[in-house]
Amino acid sequence: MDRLIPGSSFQAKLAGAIIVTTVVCLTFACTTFWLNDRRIRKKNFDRVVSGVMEMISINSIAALYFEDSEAAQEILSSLKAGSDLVEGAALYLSDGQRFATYVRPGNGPEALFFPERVTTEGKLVENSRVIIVREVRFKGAPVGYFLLRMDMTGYHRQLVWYSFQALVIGLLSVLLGIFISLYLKRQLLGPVFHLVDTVKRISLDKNFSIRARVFSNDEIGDLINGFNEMIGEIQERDHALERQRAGLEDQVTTRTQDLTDVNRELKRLNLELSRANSAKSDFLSRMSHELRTPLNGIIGYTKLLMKENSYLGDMETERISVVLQCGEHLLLMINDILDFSKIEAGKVEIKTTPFDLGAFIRTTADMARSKAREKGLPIVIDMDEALSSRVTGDYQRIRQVLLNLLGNAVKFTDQGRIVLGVKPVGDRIRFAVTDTGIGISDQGLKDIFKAFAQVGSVRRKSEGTGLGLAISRHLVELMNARLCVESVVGKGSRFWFDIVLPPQASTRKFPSLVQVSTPVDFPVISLPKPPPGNILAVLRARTDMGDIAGIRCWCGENREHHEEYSAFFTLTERLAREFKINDINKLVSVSTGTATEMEQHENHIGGG
Amino acid sequence: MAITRVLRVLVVLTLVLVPRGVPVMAGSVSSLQVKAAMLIKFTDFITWPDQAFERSPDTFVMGIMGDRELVHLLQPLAGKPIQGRHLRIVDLDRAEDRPLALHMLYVGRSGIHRWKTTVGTLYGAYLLTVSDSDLFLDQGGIMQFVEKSGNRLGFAVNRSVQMKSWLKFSASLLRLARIRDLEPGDAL
Repeated sequence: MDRLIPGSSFQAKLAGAIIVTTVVCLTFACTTFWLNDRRIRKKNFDRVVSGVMEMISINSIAALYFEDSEAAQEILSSLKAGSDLVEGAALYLSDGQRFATYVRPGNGPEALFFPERVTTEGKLVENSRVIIVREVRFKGAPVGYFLLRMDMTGYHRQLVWYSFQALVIGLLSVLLGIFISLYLKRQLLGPVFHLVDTVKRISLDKNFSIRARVFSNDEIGDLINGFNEMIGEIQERDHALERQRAGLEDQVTTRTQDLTDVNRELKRLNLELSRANSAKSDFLSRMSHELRTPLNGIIGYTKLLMKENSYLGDMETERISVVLQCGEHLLLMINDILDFSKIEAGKVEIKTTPFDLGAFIRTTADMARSKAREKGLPIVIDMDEALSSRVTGDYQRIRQVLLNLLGNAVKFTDQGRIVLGVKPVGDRIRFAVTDTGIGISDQGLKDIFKAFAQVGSVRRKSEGTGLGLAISRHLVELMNARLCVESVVGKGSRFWFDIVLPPQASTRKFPSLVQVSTPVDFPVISLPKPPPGNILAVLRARTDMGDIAGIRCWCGENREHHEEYSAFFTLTERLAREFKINDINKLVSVSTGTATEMEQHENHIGGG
Repeated sequence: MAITRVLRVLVVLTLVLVPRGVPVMAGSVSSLQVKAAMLIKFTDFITWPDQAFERSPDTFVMGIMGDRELVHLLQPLAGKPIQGRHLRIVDLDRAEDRPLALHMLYVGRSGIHRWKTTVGTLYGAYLLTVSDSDLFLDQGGIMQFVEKSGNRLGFAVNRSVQMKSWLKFSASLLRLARIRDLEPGDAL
């Protein structure tokens, strides 16, 4: 059906099917009946004709035999009472002579109808007339002929009329059939279409409270009842879901509130924590300063005691050296903690200044050599000649890292040598410290850069704070590089980092106020006269703090003195970072005053 | 076949002697010929019972009284089959011709007053009696030639006598006949 009427509704299809079925069936039935009736009529007609023929033939035998025309006429007249199809009739003697005639009243003169002579049987059909001639026999011999003339007009008219009737009845039947079928269809399928409408309405409005009406108690009624139950269930579930959703919303609101509370609490805690942290950092840096000052005094005076008072006995000298070692270690730890806390607090910045790479490396190696010399270890510089000597970068931080690495190398190497390598890698410069020491285990390599970690089963002479490598790593990272390490246990270790040091663009002359044997490229401050003794003691102590730098020295090129005053330079350098150069000149002049004044000033800076 | 041949002869006879449309004159030769043909034709529409032939099983005997001319006219047809038997023509006016049985009797005008006493009593049952006399039916005869309009020759049947005679007349024949219903002696 869908192929015949594509896209039409089921109703239309059903109506189409009903109409087609009705029309086909009724047309078939009407046509069959019509044809059958036609056949029967024809048969009846033939029977009537043959009956008439038979009757007249038999009755007219004697009349013909005795040539009694009156009797013959009388016999023919009996046709008057028969079928009005008979228009006329005639009897002929056996020699063909016309003997008697009959014309149905109302028809024309007989001459128009009958031939003069008839000598043979036969049948003639002309237009709507049929003429039949039959031989009349008596005792096997012909005694005459009977001619029957029929007018078929009426018969044909009757046939046409009957066909018309059949057609009208057929059409009326079709219409009635269609009407009844459609009515029944509406009666039978009405509930189904009502159900379809209900389904549509439900799916359009999403209203599950709508119910389909039940019309009858038959299968369709069951279907609609089932549908209603189903929709009821859906509605019930919908409500349940709704309730659950509402509950869920409440829950979400509650949880959100809880989260908000927790969040607020966390924020508060975080604030407290950061306050605590900054307080800690503040505390640490203050404490470091506060601790360093008296410690520097202790160390400085202890050294003076050792160097200048030769009257001390061996035992005293030994004990004083222990004091010195302990002080130095303490100072180292304090410095490390200060640095680490600064890094943690994010207070360390990388400052880029131009410097001479070759001189920088030589000075740095020299600084490390004092410790190495004690263990008899040579520090070899392996520097690529092709490297530009004038570069820009934060040489102080690079030096701090290198000294830490070199210090470690010295610390963990008993024999062999330590190589400080510098070579270009791509657009970076690689700084590498290689030793032939005890090496680091795999587990050690994992923890090596963590704070307060020190590798090795035995704490080597209780040196170091465990912060050196952590600080170095942070500093290298601040310079956009990574501190790497590789090591073989028992063979040695290698630490390296690759940083960008752009060549110096201009050939600006460095301030050349410092005239020391080790060329250093710092802003240099000239001191008018040697500082007083107490200041000097402080400076000496600072020399041992590790962050040694070159210093402009008024004592000429004496290396001993250089080392002694390098600490002073570190101080002034630090001050120079925090003040303008003019201020430093002022500061230096101040620092040449009394130690108290200087300390006060330093405190002021540290606190700032 | 015999009947058809007889009929053919008769037909030829009538066609030759009695042209259509020409009135048959009573008493003329033609009239007698017509009467002769009709007498023969009557036997085709009348059935005699078997008892009628007990005395003469093979012959159908036709007796003629009072009309010698008719005897001559019919004599040539003797031996022809009638009712399945040979036809025998007997002139009852001649004393030596007295048959054992008689099936059909024609009474001419001259014999009308004596047929009953001489022949009627003798042959009684199963006898078809025909005459052209107007008195014949009243005398108890069965059939009588009558003149119809247009000088045509017809016949009348005394139905009550015919019913008593054991002779079966076909309806076709009766249809052509003028029916009289007279008990014998009604008019006497």
